[in-house]
Amino acid sequence: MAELNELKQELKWLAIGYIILSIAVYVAFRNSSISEILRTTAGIYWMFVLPGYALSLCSKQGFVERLIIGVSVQAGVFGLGSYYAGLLGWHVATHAIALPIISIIAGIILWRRK
Amino acid sequence: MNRDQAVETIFLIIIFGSLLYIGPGSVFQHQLSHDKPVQFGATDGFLYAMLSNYVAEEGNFRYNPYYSVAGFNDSIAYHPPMLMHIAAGFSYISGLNAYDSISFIMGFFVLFAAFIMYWLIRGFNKKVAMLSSPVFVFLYVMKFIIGYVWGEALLLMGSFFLVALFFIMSQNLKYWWVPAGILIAATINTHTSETIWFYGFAAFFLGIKLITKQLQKHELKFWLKQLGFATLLAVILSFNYLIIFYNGYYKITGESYSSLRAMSPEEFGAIQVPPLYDFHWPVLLPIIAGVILALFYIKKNANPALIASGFMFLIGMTNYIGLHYRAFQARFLWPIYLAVFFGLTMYTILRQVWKGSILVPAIVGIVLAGIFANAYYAPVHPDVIRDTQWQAFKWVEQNTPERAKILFLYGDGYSQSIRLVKRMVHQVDGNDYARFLTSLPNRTLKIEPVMMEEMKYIHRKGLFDFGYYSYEYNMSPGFVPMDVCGFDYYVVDKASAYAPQLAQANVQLGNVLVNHNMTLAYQNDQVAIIKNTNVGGECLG
Repeated sequence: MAELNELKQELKWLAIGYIILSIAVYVAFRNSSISEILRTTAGIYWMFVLPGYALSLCSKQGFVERLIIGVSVQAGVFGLGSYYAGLLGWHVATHAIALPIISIIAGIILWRRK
Repeated sequence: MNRDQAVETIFLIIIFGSLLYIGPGSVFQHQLSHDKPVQFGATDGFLYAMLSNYVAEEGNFRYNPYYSVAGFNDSIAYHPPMLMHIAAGFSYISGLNAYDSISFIMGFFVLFAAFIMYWLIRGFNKKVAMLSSPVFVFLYVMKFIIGYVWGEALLLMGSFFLVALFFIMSQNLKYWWVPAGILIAATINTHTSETIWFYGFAAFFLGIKLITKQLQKHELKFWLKQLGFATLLAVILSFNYLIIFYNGYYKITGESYSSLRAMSPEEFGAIQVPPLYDFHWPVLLPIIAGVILALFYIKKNANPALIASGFMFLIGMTNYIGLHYRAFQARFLWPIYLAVFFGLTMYTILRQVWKGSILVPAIVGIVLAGIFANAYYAPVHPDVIRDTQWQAFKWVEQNTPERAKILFLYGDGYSQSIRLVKRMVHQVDGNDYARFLTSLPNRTLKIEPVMMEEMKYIHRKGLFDFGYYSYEYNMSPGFVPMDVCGFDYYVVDKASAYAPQLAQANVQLGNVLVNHNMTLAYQNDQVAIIKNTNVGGECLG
């Protein structure tokens, strides 16, 4: 239960992080529309942050350390996975939707098994 | 959240928010999406933008686009594939064009690398980390920013994975080899030099720990075992690209990997690479002092942040012993790698007067970042392609047959940008142009097919069996004499900001072409496109 509470707390931090990232991107790219900003930051979160966080759940490091390792590893997992999936004939158009889902599910399974 | 955590969070938001603004924000002209690529100022950037766009359209990176490899349909993709796939995927999910996507990803992950370095230094000392951060501003100061705007995309992404590997060396993980193996594979499939740097760093790190008696025998055994497993995993994950790399880059340009040839002064001047004094004395002197201080710290605490920074400093200097351009590439990331030395000096000074909370280092860090930005930073907006040129590029793609041969007469920026056009494009040699015009109706002019010729149009015959069309068809690289009348279309720039005499020559040649069996197919204020109705026939007189 303590773990679940910790998870909730960390998800709250991730949500706050998303808002901060969106504001930072909004300021840096101030000539863009709100929908472009939100879609771009959501893309970052969906492709790297959430799956990276899920993959790192089974580790005992601190939140930020896990996030750093998770996001970095997820960038590698996505790039490699997308490359081989493309070679096998799966068009890259749907990789950004599907591959993060696979990482999230894998992360949750590893976490639950722990 | 306690007071120190709140101070640090606000500090990080200000520092990294500002970096996002003056870095990618400025290069993007503060706009995420553009009608044309504005972020790149050199050919590499356009090349990776073109390849990312190709992967997004084609769906994979098995082959190179035919129009970039002299029309061959099965010339295999030999560039490390990962970044193009990430950019293509991100393009779909974010709705950005592939060229905006790759540049955004590049900028984002460089900033993330800076953040990882901050957190790595923080593991050594939080105040040192805060006082190191102002040096990150130099990522966007000339000449360091050249790595970004000239499109060293693979280098920058590979360096991000390298910094992540530095970080992971500082972490005590049960299955360390799993994330490490994935990250090593990521460097192999993004920018292979960084793989070599990582192993160099690992040896350097463990060696120093061993010499300073900070590593027990059983710990060394643990690291060697973990590194062995990680390497095995990385090789398995990179199996396909390693075969391509060996038969491509290694076989074709292997000499540059294995021969030590120091950089000549002429080459040094020709390549826009940051020398150490680009940090300017107010920053460089503390960095030098920090290196000396780090030597004392390392004796007691061989922290990965200090070792990694020292190692990458040395890598950046290896041009003097022959590592050539690879050494220079590492310098683009020096603002990240050398930041800790600056922070160490500032911390040593500040400690003499302040030993309290992190509020003071945070304020000093922000103020210094502001001073550096104010003193040394100038916005860079490459924006090489004019709107009229871009309209002409699009017209060519939408109105000419797929296999059309296009000759671009001189145009500002064309030597960099025309590889974006999805056709077999060729450019004239500006140096041969004057001779050609005075020798009309002589039809021979030095022309270069704008192709990815460096790997000799490599193609795969079997899993380990490769051929090279360049050798098989005896094709010559670079500018070669060609028949001017043998092209399907001619792109004629009527004005130039840099070489008006060449633009005048364009108009003169364009008039000759239109008067001999050709028709004006398209024109805007600056560019005219002429269609050859009798390819190979008489076209000049």
